Amino acid sequence: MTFNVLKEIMKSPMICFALAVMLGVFFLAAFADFVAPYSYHEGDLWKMLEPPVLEHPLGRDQLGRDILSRIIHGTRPLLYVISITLLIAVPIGILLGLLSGYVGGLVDLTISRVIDTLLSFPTILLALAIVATLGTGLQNVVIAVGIAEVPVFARLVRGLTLSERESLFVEAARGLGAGRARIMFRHILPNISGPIVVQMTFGAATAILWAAALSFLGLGAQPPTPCWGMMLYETKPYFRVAPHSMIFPGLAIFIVTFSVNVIGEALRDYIDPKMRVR
Amino acid sequence: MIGYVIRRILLAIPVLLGVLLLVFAISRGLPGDPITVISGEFEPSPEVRRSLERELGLDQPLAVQFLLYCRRTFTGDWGKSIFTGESVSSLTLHRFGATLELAVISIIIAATIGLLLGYFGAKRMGTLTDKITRFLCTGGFSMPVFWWGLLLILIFSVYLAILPPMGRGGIENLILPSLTLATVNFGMIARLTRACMLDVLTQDHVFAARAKGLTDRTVFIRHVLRNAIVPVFTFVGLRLGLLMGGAIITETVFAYPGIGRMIVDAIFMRDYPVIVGGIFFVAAVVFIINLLVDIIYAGLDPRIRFERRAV
Repeated sequence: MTFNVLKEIMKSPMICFALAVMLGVFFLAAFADFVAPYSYHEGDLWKMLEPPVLEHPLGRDQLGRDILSRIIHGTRPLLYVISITLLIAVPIGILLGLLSGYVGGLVDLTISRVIDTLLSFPTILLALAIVATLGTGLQNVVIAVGIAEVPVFARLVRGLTLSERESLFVEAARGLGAGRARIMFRHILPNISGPIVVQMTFGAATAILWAAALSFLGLGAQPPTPCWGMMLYETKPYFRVAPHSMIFPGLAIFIVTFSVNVIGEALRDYIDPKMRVR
Repeated sequence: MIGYVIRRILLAIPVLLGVLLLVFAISRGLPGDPITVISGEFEPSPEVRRSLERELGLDQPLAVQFLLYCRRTFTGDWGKSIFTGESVSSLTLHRFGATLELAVISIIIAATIGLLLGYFGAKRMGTLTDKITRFLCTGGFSMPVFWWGLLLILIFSVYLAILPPMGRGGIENLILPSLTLATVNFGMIARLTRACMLDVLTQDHVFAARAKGLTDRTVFIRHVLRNAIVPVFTFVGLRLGLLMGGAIITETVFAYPGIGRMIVDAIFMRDYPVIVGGIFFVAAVVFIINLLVDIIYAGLDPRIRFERRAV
């Protein structure tokens, strides 16, 4: 089976590209200190906004820092954003969704209304309001995006739980005397984990975009953290005179988000063969 | 149908209350208390502070404050901007007009491109056309809005100098922002169109239509697209709702005076009445659009009315 999956993957250049990008991100994050040619926080003010040259292939930013090195170091905040967002959104979302879908009744009614309420706010607005309350900074941005993604997971898990609730294996478990918690976590959850994993990849992609968007509004990390969204925010005033300072960090965000989405789609196609390109 | 509409509206009431409660909580959660904000640099004397508290109802229990807040919200008394003194409700409505214009135009562009791409993706499933379509769609919704917006400004305003980079005015001001917003939205619409069409393609009535000897074109347009388009319309409606506040980033990039931009500015200036009023207004609009979309959906597809009666 593993072999078949690999063969399937190799057939698609897009998936190969996406996997290579993600491996690259992990590699760069792990070895940023050795790979990056220059420091990410020290620059040469005399050469600020210098366009790309051989020694600095992506040019320098508004403080004369090497953009390539900053992008390489920026993979660390990127992985931080993805992991913390998912650590917040997924467990809470799963718990709410399972309770709402399996227990039903008043619990379901209450949780569903809460989810509906949260979904009435455009995600970016919800995250913005949370950051405004908590204060700026990358940590609060991540918490805000995490909370803003909770209703998405909760709604998905609730729907999946509803469709599994009446299935035979659940009835069998109930007949054997399994309690609610055991049925929810040991029987239903493993059976619906596929779509949850798929949603996690899409959740990771949106987390990158939303965290970058909040950073772009100036609510994100404090300098000199080399966060990609933050780099765009800092160089935005100069983008007419030095377009390279804005193009490359944005390109990095785009390529990584694109790769995560491609992987998510590949996973979804694998789980749901109906959608697969034949 | 009337029963469904009534049930749907009854279920919506707690959501509206939840929205009010959440916005109220946000207004309380924002750092700094209103009295310090109003009095600015001057530390108010205890007497002044008490009288201000009484005036603003801050000496009441929280529950009473919440009810007072609800009453003010529904009577349209949303307070005044701390900085400009403008009434928040008229400011919000004014800005909302700008956002509505942008959102509607961009969703029309996105829906047109999305339907076309989805239609051809499904019709030529598995071919190169389908693969290119998928690539474009994933590229579209992976696009960081702010970066794409800046790139468009760079190309069309700086290098080619044919379109204005910012502001609001004529139709030429709308082209770049609405293209930016359309780019991040067409992908989802196309994917959904394709998926729904493939779903319908496997149904018996399509085989029947084919067996009757109808041409491929007629089968696709009359039988497949017409059935597949209902969920797509629902999705487009929901996206339109979310664009009301979701256009924040685009509005910031293009300095477009919409409601999202208003809220962001207010957050930076700590203009609390504007923040609270703006957030509530956006949520209320999304809420109403969602409700309408649900009801229209049920009208278009009678099966919905009988599904999940309990929920």
